[in-house]
Amino acid sequence: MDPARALVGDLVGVLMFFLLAAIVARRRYRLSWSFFAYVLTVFVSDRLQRAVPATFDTAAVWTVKESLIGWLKVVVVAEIGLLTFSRLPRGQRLLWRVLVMLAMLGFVAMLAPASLPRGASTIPWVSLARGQAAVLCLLATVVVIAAHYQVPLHPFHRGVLVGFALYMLGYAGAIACARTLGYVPAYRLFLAMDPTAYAATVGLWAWTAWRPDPVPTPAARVLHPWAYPA
Amino acid sequence: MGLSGVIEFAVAAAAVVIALGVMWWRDARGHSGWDDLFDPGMPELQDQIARKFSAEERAARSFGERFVAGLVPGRVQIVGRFAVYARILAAAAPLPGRVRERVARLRATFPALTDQPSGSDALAKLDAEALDACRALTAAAERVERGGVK
Repeated sequence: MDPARALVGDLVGVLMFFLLAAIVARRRYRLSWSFFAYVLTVFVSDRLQRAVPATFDTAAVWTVKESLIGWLKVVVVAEIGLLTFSRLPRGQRLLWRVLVMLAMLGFVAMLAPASLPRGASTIPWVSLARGQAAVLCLLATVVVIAAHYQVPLHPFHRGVLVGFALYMLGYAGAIACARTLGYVPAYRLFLAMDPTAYAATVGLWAWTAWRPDPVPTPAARVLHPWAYPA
Repeated sequence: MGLSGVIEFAVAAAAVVIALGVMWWRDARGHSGWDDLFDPGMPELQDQIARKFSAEERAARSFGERFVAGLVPGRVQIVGRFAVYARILAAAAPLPGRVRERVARLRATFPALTDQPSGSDALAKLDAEALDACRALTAAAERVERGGVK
């Protein structure tokens, strides 16, 4: 593995360890089990990639990993939305219907024709790009419906969503560069940009997980009983 | 990258801008309607509103239509808040007695008081409807707080 890439990978690993420690120490897993699963999956897969690169640092394994992580992101966003509306059943049903409809649209969009990147590539750039856009649409939907009903987002959930939004936009931009510049020159650029952006995102999440929550408002206490058990 | 690639990135960027923009806008507004509805001081605030309405109705009978016209903006603002409460409470359960329609009608009817010769009587009637709507909204919020919604 390239030494610079290995160094950034180790930095991300350290940050992810702090994030996992914060999630456990602060019991943030109560706020989103799927986000805990997502972080654990990324941490384990990255460490395997670092430890046994011959087996795990391949395009095929990376593609499977990205697909699994992509679906975990969908579950995280859906869980945050459903928890936010846990005391508001009509709003929850509306959100669920909209999320399912968008997920189906995203699946159909995956089938639309697209121009392929220059050069042979075993990485499904098109599916990755469309997957990012689909998850970001789901994320925006949760935020907009929560804003329409003035339901507060838990500070931890908010940090998770902001982190996902910023990182996935950068990730989508990196994929766009890869598809424009061609596979060979772009892959190295992608490998440089992606871990750096992810390290920043994990740092944001670790800070969000460690910092104490502000005093909850009356609305937060009533609408988010899972966050403030009696 | 092709047209499809441009569209995919544009959709991703638009979603991020919308999400972060809406979060920022909510932060700028601060206080939410739910904070009002679940405020422990809400029953006392309802009583204060009722006393305020009563005092202003008595004054309107003495001072006439121009005094009533001066009260209209404040009434419209109060009923505007009720409309927000009705909208957000609809996320929990349908509101009883067509409260949302009543509040919408009050928002349209209060401004018309400025043109009515018997403004103080009409004001009293609309104030009573507004207080009824407020009580219905507060009761709906209490049901959400107790967890008694389906």
